[in-house]
Amino acid sequence: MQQQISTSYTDKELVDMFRDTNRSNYAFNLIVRKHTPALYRLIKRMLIDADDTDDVLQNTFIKAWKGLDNFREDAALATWLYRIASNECITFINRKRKFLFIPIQSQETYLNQKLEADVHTDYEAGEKKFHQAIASLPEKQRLVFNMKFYEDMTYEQIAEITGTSVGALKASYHIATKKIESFLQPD
Amino acid sequence: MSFEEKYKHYQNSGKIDVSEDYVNKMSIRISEKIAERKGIKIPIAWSLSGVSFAGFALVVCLFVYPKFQHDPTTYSSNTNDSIEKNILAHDSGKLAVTHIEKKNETISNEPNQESILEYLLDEEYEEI
Repeated sequence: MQQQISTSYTDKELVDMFRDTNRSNYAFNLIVRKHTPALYRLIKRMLIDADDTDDVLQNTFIKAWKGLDNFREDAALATWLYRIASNECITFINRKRKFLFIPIQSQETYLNQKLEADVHTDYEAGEKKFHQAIASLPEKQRLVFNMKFYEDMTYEQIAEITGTSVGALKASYHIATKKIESFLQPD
Repeated sequence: MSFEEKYKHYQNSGKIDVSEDYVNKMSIRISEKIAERKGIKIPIAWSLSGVSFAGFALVVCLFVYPKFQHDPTTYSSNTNDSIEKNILAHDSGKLAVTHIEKKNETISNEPNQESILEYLLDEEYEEI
């Protein structure tokens, strides 16, 4: 029911409602409900761990709440939220790496451990190896791959989110697919 | 065959469903965090106001207040619309008090001719 209410408003209407101080809490609640599924999917694919995903998702919305008054609406609200979520994921990964003293080459091992421990997802045969291949990619390349492959976004949409040129994104995606195919080759 | 065509089945099976229950829980969690942050802002604001006021009071005590302290016997300045008592000590030991009303005038410690004459003709004056 609440989900139906949140999706019946457009993003523009929700932002305008947020700027009315009497309705800002209600508006922000609807924004959270409307955009949680998409942002959750993006973050979960990057971080794999469910608890980490919840924390980063929360941080994303807190940042959005702080910045929504100054949101210039030169991009769509969804794009802006995706941008915050992407940056929060990268920041989280870098912070975790420094805090836990995980060297760059062990990031893959760390994510693979998370994949093994992930009880929320049932993997088919071979699918786990596919996810392990994705986990072996550098984080920015992994982000682009997930947005293109799983979320079926266009390069233009991804360019708006990441601030990278379409040409660079195409190259990045192409390299990512080659790496994954190479990873999946039988030894 | 393109990469997407080759691994399309992983594309479909890799879809993540987000339950209504999860959305509700996350919505409540975020609302609580925002309320918490709003609550913290008020004590911080009060603390900063208190520190600012204390700093201002200190500046006034150290730098501004002393400027109002002055030695009346060496007073010499331009002031507007003030009435001052100028106490003059003289050889006889008697004090003559002159009221001076100033309006953009330069004050001199030296008495003018009229006031000297007035003083000399004063009955209580005794020539030593």
